[in-house]
Amino acid sequence: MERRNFLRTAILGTIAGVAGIKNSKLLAWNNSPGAETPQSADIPDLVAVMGGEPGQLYARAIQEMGGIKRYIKPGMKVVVKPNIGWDKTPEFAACTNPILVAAIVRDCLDAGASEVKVFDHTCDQWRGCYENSGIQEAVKQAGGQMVYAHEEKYFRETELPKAVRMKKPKIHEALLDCDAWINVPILKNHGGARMTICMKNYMGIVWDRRYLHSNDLQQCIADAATFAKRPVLNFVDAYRIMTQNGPKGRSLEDVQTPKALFVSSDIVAVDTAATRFFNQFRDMTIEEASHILLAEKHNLGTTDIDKLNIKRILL
Amino acid sequence: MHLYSFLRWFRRITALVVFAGLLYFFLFTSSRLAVLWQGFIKLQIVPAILGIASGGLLTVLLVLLLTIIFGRVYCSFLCPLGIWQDIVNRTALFIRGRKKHRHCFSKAHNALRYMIMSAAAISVAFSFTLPLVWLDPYALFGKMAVNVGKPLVALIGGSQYAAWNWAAFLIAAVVLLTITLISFFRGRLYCNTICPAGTLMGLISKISMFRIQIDKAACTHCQLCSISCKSGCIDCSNAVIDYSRCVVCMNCISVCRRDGIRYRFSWKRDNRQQKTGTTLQPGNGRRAFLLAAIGAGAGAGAVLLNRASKSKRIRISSSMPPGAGTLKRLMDKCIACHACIAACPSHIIKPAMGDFGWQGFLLPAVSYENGFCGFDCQKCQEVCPSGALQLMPLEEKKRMRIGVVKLTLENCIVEKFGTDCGACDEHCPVKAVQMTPREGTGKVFPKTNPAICIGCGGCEFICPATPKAIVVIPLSEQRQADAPVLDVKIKVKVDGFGF
Repeated sequence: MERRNFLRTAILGTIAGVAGIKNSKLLAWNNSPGAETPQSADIPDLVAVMGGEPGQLYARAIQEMGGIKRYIKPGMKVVVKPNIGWDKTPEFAACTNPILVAAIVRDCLDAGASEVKVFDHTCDQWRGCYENSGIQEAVKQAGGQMVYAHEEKYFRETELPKAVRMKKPKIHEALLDCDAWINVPILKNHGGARMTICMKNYMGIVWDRRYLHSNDLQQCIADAATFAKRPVLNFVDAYRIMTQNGPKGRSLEDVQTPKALFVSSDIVAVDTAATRFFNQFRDMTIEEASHILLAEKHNLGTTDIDKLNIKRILL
Repeated sequence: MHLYSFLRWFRRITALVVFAGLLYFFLFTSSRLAVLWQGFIKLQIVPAILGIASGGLLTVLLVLLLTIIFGRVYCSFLCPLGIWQDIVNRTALFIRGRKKHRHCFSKAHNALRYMIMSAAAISVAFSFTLPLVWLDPYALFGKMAVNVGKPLVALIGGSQYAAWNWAAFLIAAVVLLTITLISFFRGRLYCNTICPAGTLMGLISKISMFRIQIDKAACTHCQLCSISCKSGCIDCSNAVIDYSRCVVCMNCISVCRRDGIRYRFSWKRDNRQQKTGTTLQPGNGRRAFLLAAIGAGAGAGAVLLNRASKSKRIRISSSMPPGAGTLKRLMDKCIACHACIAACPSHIIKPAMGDFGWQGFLLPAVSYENGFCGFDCQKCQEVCPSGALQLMPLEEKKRMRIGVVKLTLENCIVEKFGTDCGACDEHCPVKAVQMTPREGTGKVFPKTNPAICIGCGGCEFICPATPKAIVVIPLSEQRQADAPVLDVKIKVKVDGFGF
């Protein structure tokens, strides 16, 4: 079944890709604001937007991806999973931008989601993270729910049959019980994993972080990403990015503000793209952040993004 | 409503609000609420005396003033342990009924109480607070609420209690049971015998401006007031009241059927009335003085013993919460009320067992088992009523070193297995440990810079290796760590996406 699904995705992807290449030649750098919502065949594999405020970036990106309704159907239970790992305010770029998170939550609810839950298994003391990141407040105002993830009782053991090292992690119940989820990490460098983007963001859905660190971190991150319920979309928040001392950061000196946002359903592709983007600020390769390559081996996506239909937009 | 009835209800309601507030703080406080409670939870006389130089002066003056004007109202309105005993006493009346639950006038245990008070006073004067850990009502209340109450709340809520400690639980449970039983049968016996604060305020309340007065013309010596007096301080047969033990609960006033007992301005009446109170009888006074002197001697002895043993360096096996300064300072100021344990959002403060030697038993000790010290957090300092954990500007706290990092590279995951880890680097707020490339390996290994380490324990907490590759060594003297040298931002202008 999995293989058939994969083949189908691959074939559809190729078709979309071919169609996309044709399209991208016509439409690339088209930044007219009133562009029509694209038809299914025109949906790019990856959309990159730069040069706007978080709300604007999101609005444009999701429009190019065909609108949230393509991914979130009425009545769905939705989880939005940002990075809320640290007790830091938004300008330190340690956590996902709260405005972006709120925009996604609101959009999902507008699309008819029955509930939108937001959580992260934080590293710093959870309450400080939820509050000082600004995400709790923003999510509540947008109509979403912040849910707890600071105790083991909120996590359930789950099998990851395709995993190499981490075969039975405990995964957060909200994610296990939802119908669709959206992954919203922030782009940062990372002392251990080298990069923390979409796949590294999976660490916040797992209870035992130490297990990952002590059992080949890079492999475990890729293993986590084999969790059968894939995110329908992966947004990489690059409005502010952390280029040194990540993932916690020490001062504002660690932060750059490129004001960008990337989105794709292909987690490997968007992590690859984000790493290449990051490479402009500080040397970094996907060979170093090797979980990206390991995830490609798991057939979770492609690092060969030059072959994809990428829509690049400068606002 | 009758004035006294009003006063009595005023006492009951105020006391319940104070009690509920304190209990809420100790049982349910969340990190953000702690600030709200800061002033409220510090209206406590003994911690305020200890912290007189660090914000306690106002509380001390306030309580003194209240006592001089109104008598020992502090014991009825503000002391959580006193209020708890009143609640128990009222419940006892309800359970046992009016006929069985009768108090009666009893002689003051002057020998014991003055001995305890002077021993405590001498100890405090020479900064030896260990006796207060076991005597002060606020310290006892806090210990019971934290070590018995909090685990219970966690149990009911179905979550784990991170600072669980068997010994502290048992001790607190025994103290709670004892005090509850005493007050169930004998009212305010603890307050008038053991509590040093009660005894001290009793000395003042003898001459307070307002006092309960028996109208000898109206009194029929019916004993109703004595029976209702939980302090056992009304000698109705002789129509005299021992003011040193009266906590101004006003129960006696409302039971008197002849309006024979009232709360009155008493400074003018003193010359007209006989000298009252058993404690003022000459023979008794001399004996009490003698015993107080013995108590003082005992206190001094304890102080000397403590000094002698402190001069030997105590090897500490846990860090102290930030703001303690030195181990000596912590022992001089802390009465182990456990407010810091209640307030710590990361649940890293626990009652010390042997961590600080025998003198430091039950004092707050830091354990990185369940978490680490929040970089921007100073809740423990904010709630400390005695200034034992000195509140300091946040920027100073962020560099306050409570311990120092020690790396054992051969235990490290990267060294042992050759796989990436970096959990310590990830958690370090000052980058006192950083993943650093080693030539020829293509791997990054942790490298420490102890000079800037503050000992928050993030690295120790998260280190996945067994045994831990990185730990924090406790320090008995807290100092400011060096300021980290910040990396300057590399200015990069990016126009394209790079892909």
